[in-house]
Amino acid sequence: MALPIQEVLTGLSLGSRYFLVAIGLSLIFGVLGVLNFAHGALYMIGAYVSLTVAQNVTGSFWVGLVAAGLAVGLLGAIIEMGLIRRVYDRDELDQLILTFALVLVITDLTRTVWGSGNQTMATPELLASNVHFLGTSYPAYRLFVIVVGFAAMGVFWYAIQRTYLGRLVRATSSDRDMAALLGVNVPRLYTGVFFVGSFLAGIGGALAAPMQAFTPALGDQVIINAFVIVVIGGLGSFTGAFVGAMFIGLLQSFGVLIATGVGQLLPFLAMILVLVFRPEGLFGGEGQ
Amino acid sequence: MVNDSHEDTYRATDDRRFAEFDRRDFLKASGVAGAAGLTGFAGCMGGGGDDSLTFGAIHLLSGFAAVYGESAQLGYEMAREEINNNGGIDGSEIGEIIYRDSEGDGPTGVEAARSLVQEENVDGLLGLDSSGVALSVAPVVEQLQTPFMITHAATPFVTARDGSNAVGNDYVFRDGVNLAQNVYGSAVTASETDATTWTTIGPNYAFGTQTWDYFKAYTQGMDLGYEYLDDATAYPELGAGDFTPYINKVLNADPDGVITSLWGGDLITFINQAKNSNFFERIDNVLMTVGAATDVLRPMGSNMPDGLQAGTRYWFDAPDSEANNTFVQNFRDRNDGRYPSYNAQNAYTALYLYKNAIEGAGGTDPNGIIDQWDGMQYEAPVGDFTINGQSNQAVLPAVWGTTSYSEDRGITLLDPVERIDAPAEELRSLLEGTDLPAGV
Amino acid sequence: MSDETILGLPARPTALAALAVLVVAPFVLPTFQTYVLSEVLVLALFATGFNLLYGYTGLLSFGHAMFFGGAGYALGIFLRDVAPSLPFGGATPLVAFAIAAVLGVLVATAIAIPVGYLSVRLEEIYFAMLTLSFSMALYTLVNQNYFGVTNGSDGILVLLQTSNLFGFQLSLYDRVTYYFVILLVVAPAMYILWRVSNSPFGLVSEAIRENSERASGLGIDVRRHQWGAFVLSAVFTGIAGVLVAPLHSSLSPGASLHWTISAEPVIMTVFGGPYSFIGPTVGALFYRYIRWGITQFPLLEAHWQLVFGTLILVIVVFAPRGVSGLLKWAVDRVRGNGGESA
Repeated sequence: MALPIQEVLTGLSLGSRYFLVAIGLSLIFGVLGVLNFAHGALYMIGAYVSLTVAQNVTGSFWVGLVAAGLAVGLLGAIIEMGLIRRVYDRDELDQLILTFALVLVITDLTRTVWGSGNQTMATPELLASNVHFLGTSYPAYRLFVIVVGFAAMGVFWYAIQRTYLGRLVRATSSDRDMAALLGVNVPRLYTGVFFVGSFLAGIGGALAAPMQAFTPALGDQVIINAFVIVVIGGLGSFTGAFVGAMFIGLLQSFGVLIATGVGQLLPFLAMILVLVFRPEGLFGGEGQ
Repeated sequence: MVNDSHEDTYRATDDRRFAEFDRRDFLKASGVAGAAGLTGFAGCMGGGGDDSLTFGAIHLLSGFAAVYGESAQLGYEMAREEINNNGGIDGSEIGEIIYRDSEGDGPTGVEAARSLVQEENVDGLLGLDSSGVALSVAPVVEQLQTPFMITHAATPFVTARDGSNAVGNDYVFRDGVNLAQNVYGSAVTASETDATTWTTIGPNYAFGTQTWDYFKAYTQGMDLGYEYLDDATAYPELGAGDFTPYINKVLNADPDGVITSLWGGDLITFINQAKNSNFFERIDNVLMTVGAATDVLRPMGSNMPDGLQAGTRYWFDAPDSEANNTFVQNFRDRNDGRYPSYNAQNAYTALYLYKNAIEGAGGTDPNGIIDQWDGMQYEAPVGDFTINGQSNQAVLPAVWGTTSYSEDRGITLLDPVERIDAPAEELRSLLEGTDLPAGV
Repeated sequence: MSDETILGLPARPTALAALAVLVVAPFVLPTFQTYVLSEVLVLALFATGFNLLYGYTGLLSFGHAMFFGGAGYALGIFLRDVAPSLPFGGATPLVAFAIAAVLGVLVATAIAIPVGYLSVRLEEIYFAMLTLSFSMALYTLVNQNYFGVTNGSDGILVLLQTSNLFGFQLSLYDRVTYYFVILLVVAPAMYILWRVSNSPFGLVSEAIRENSERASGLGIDVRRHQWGAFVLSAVFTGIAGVLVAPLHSSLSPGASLHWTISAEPVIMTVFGGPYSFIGPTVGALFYRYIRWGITQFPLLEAHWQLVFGTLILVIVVFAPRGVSGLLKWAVDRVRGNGGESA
């Protein structure tokens, strides 16, 4: 029966895209304690950079993808060093408002440079066909996105659990002052984390570009869902971000079958249930 | 009682009681002396008083649909230049068109309207892309007693007088095709196919749901014997990045025909994603109510499938009249070869409608303008039309055609294309018994 | 923070002076500015009501739109469906409005009681997320018109009529008249909020914000108190919500219930400064008039997001106590009070 497989794959591909945004958000919050409202805007910049580099400069989607990640990562690092760093010791709200203001600025600048019309990007040739399996046919590109999502999760899990850097990150997020006392260069670590988080958002945006028409308002569409995912999964938990993203993706995919608007309502209901019964999120509270 | 727009109870002149304090006096009074210099620098000297005319245009200038506001600006500016180069309006130049961002938000649009009228003293209002904002602004322009020519927002309720949700009044006009007229065209197009089971996929707000309601009403009124698959209707959120769940839902119902009211970026995304599922092969008849809009065709390029039925509110290739051909050529010359969108044409025509009315009335008195517009006949690039005296809606045909990409011209064309007349009486009679206004 | 000063000036005379200015204003200002000032008053109440929960009790709510819009929708639906058949003759519009307003506030309160109970069990960002969820759930329900009364995304018009009171015509739609209606409600409401903030209740709230564990150790039932603050905050937000609907003449999910509406009092409060009573009001004033100022210059208006965003950035980074902090610092300097830095 083709029905559930299509829905499941759709849910997973949605989830993978959400995951690439959510993981950066979760990472930045877990380590820096900052809720980066501008993460959606960074995702959007990734799409635009990829478009420009892939279409106008090199003609290669893959170069565009990497360029998008690096460019957005760099942008994130600059934002962290120039602005976020000034408000670390302040209220969470100040940080949130700061990143919210960044969204306005970034969106307007993007609109000034690229215009407000719809942009489209061709699927890379390598992945432009459909794959046939299990009695159904599915676009290869979307499967690729799902693979990237799972791979990112795998790489992350390994990096955090098994590498030295990962230990530094875990230590700093659990006790910043102690880590500093132990010789960790906390400011540099923070910038690095922000870079990585932004890098991932940029990759996410670049991956989304061939799948949908986009405008400078692309970020607004993902940021709220990203927040919901991160809260449901557990702030600071990567496993949580992954599971949460897949969960929301599947929910939205299957929600269509129930009634109109359910796909919009269910994530918030899910968030209410999680917050009421298990506020630290499904995987939160015990770190990564 | 609350929505009775003819109540004189709030058509107050009280609102203009303090209008003699124009903006300059206020700034002086608050001691912001330097601002006078700044306002002069910005060129915002209110109309009336000196010899030039000023208009106010409220559009989407930010957000994901900002392309519509920008497109309208191209139309306004072209008209303004042409009019000024040809003697202006009765000798007076159009000094400025002041643009305000509605932000897609009712209160912001209302405030923009108030500010333009009460602060900038504009001689007339134009605009609105968002139907929701239009519904909020309509009662306000009546209270402000300022003429308002809608150039885009398609909700029929804003040119309807009867019914509980109608907000039409004497000051609100529209020079573009509304939803009721466009969907009528889709119903006629549908009747020429042999599809009998139908469903819809549209954006999850009034525009999407109303398109389906109107389609059902028309085709029932035409006795086409259709079966409507209400359980298979799909309404993705505006700006949803992934339509696949909705595409699957529709495909699984296996209808003969699908009418879609998706627009702009959503339509582009939908078409590209639908192609992956062989949507257009599996479903014989797909009607896209605003599929032939240039903001869709240009980004789609050669990716736009051929053989689909697409509608639009203005098609640059039709009619083959001198008015239209000149307009299109001049527009392309000014804008790097771009074809004019319906936003640009409607905006362009709106300014000329003001010109006609002001010259006909011999001045900028609002009541004179609206009297002139009442029943006015005009030759626009979109064709000859009359403004219906009862509803203030321009009686325009809905343009529908079959998509066919043209290598030479670098854009998908409609071939064949039909301008389907949508007479007011026909629409009204088909909609009788429903609570859907024809808005014309 | 429970000060007897406003921005460094003595409280009572300053407040009275401000009130006098507000009473005289509509007779001096052009009509449009009266409209803007009406909105500022409502926003000031909205933000101050919000800040009762944030600045005073330390709970950041991202869902206040559910009270603001919820109250408004209750008013709008009542006026649309019930008011036409009320038997008060010529005075009906006025009476209908009054009843609808009370109903709106009651609805906001009714929403706040269960939502508050569930929400105050959480802290900080989780509290914010939960309030956001409830608010967006309501938004979706209204937008989908699940109960058939809200007219979905098209929204509801709210047009007040003229009452005939013993031969005297009172048009509530008239901008100046409605301004005074707003002032007559907002002024006492602000005064009540001021008294509450400086009362034992307010002091306990601050204690909880500073250190909830210690407060609990002192015998305060933290959860109950927070719940109370939540409901109180919702009540005043609801009042603002019923006042704004006729001012804007319309209600819609996007303009009344969306999270971007919840963000407004948050931004205004941060702008103005959350740690003084007058902060949110200052923030509302600046927020509103700066946005108006931008519309006056076409070049700025075409890029208002950039201008506005940059302004917020500058304020947040360089003025930790918000604009009210800056003003207070300036006043202190001028008066030679030698206060702390901004």
